[in-house]
Amino acid sequence: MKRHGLALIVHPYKNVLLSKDRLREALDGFVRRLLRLLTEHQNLRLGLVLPGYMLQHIDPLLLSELREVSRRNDLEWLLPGYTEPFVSFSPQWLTMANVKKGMDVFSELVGVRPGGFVPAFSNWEPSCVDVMAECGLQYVVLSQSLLPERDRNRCGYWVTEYGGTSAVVLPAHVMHHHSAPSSLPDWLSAAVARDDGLASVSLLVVDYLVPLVGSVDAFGWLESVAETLEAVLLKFQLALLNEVPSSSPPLGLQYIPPSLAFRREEDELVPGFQNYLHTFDQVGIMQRKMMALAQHIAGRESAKEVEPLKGELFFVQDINRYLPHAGAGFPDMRDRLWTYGKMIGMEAQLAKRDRLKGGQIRIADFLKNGTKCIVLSNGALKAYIDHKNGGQVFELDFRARHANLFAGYNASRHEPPRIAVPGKSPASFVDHFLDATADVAGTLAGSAAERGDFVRGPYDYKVKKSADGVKAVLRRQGALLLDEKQYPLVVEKAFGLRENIPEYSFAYQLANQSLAGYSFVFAVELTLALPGVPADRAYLKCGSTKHSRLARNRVLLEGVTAWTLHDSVLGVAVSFVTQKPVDVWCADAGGTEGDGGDYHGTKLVMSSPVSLDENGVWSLVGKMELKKLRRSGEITDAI
Amino acid sequence: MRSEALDITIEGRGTTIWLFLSGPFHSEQVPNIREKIEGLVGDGHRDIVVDLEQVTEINEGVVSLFLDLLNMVKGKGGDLKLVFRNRTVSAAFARYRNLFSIFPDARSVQSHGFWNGIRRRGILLSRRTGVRLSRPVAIFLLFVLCGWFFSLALIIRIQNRLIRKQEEEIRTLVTWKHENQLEIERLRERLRPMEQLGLLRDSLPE
Repeated sequence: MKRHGLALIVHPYKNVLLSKDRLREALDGFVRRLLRLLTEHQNLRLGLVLPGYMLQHIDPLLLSELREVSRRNDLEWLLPGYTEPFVSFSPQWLTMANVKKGMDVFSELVGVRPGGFVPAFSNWEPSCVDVMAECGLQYVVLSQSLLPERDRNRCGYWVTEYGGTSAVVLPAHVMHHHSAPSSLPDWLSAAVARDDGLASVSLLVVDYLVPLVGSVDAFGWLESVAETLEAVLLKFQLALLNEVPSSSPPLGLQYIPPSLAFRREEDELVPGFQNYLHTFDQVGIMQRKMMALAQHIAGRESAKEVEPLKGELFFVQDINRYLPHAGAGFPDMRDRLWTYGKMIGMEAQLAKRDRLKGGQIRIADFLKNGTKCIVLSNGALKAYIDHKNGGQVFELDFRARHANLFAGYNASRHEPPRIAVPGKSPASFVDHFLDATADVAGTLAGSAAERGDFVRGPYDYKVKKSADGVKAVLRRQGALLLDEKQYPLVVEKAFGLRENIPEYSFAYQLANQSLAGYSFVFAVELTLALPGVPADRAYLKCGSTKHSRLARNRVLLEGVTAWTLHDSVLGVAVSFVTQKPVDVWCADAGGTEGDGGDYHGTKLVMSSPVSLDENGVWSLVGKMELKKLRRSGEITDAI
Repeated sequence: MRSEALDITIEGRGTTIWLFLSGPFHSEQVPNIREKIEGLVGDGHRDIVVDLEQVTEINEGVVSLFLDLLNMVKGKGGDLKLVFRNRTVSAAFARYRNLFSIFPDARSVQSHGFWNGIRRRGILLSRRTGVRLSRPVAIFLLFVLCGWFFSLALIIRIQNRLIRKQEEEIRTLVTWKHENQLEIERLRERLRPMEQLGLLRDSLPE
């Protein structure tokens, strides 16, 4: 009886941020169980997918045992890269360097250069064929859901070609512990039966994913499969992937377009997933920042300077930090802040080397929306201002703590896909103009009736560079609709940074250029990302009064000129000082009630009633001062 | 949105303000850049460097902008330097090279002196003549040239030493000759009375 081929691949992945010790412990535990499995079941042969950095964290003794098993030809090494790069979101040179480094690590630690490429989440770009050819990888394992529907049930392998270079594609059934079949022999028989018999020899590839951390014993399924191996071996022959291309011909040629099997545990394919991702907040900004940083690093000449930064960038391009999945990905504040933190750290290093005096102004299309953003920076802070969309600040980096304070999140999606949407995406220094009798608390929930067109409207801008600082002055001539009458209003706001001091100054000037006087409430909204809020490690302090439980409580400070937000997880204190007394609302950005469970940010609204006489002018001057605090329970990872 | 295509970075390095421009530079962006540079000069900055190396397209109107700005900055006692070596920008500025201070890269703006002059002149000549030397070839030629000079210096030194030695010998011989002549004269003087008496006859030829 002809036996079918079966290739089992084990694919551990770091599903959450882990400290170095915890990662080592988790990896060693995984490898021990794998070794035990391979020792107890002599007929078992497996493929093991490991990113290079994980290999570096495995106990050398266990690694030498794995090497022995590999020499016996019972284990095959497969590679996703040094980390698990998000190939579609990263520049190709970076992905290439990532995979090359992964190959070098394998060569150094296990003495073998892997032959197979297993991109995480089957994240595929046709240009990956070039990356594979350059790195000496012969075949790629992708989810069978990437193939056209009519070819998904075929048992065999394919060849893909791009620009004259070709590679072998092994379609795999990607499984997770909760989607894996309870009886593998039955599932395999059913899978073979679904094939219409085009292939001369059937081959099935199973890619089994094992999260390194979790309450469920994911490895248990592999052990149960090993127990029933005898039943499987009657019909199937266990094969390693490197044996497949030489033993049977391919089924044909497949062009595989840019794709991604969105969830590891399901065969859910997202065509145009980049568009899909850009319907969310923050992920686009993270990507733009990574691209800008990669471009900056690529432009540097000194290899000594560039290599360590490139190594750090490999972790920033890790797909696990970008895709939303249980307990990780960009919607998770800790993951988001960690990714921002790594990039801000690198930017700070580069800025230090440039020895700039008095800061820098950059005017570039950062958001890729066809218009320019103004980026003000000095040795301590970096602020991104979108002058075309309400003159809002959508990112503020505090370099001493590697923290983006404005990394808030809004779970509602953008249609059409855009990196940031004014009025929807969490940003800061958003200007609201309300009726004189309106309740400012409405701005916290987004339900306040706007009387102006300043939230989304474009501002003109001028930038100024002096010997000791940088400044951006934004100006918009708009109108307010009060009592069904239009009143002209000129809003001028200036943001500035001075020397290398972590102080962000702001100045508003509202001018009435008409002969009629009018009154309204002016409110400035900020959304801050304070990871200490959900665990009640953040509080608002005004004078000697402390307001804690910010995830649940709404706080109103009336007629204040100074207040401070402390966050011990982020290790930052943000002090606000204004020249005029203002009312300040502080509440959870998740909703009016503030559930504290799914924390997206903390909203702060400064407001003041304004009366403008004919040709009257009103101004508000203030500053945000940032200080380092001692950290507790900070966001850490093994890197 | 051609007017939004150019990326601008403004930063201070010492007392100099640097402007880095990248992307296509068309006439639409001229007012914007003029306003920014005039603003910087108005704020009291006198030393301005504009890096055009990353400019991908450029048209004639841009060059006249820089001529105006150069006049304005020079009129206020300042200096406007341009940094580029790419073909597109070099071609656009070819006719006005003698008017602008043009540097190939940021490093050469900051450094001064003989080598910097050579470097700038070399790049200028390579643009004019089309003859360029790769760094290893240039080093090799320099090495050969230095070898020639060294050999020449060595030969001159050896010849010089030989001449000095011969001069010394000549001087010694002349002195010896002079002393001997004196000695002969003295002896002749002593023999002369005897010769006059006819007791001796001179055996030496006259």
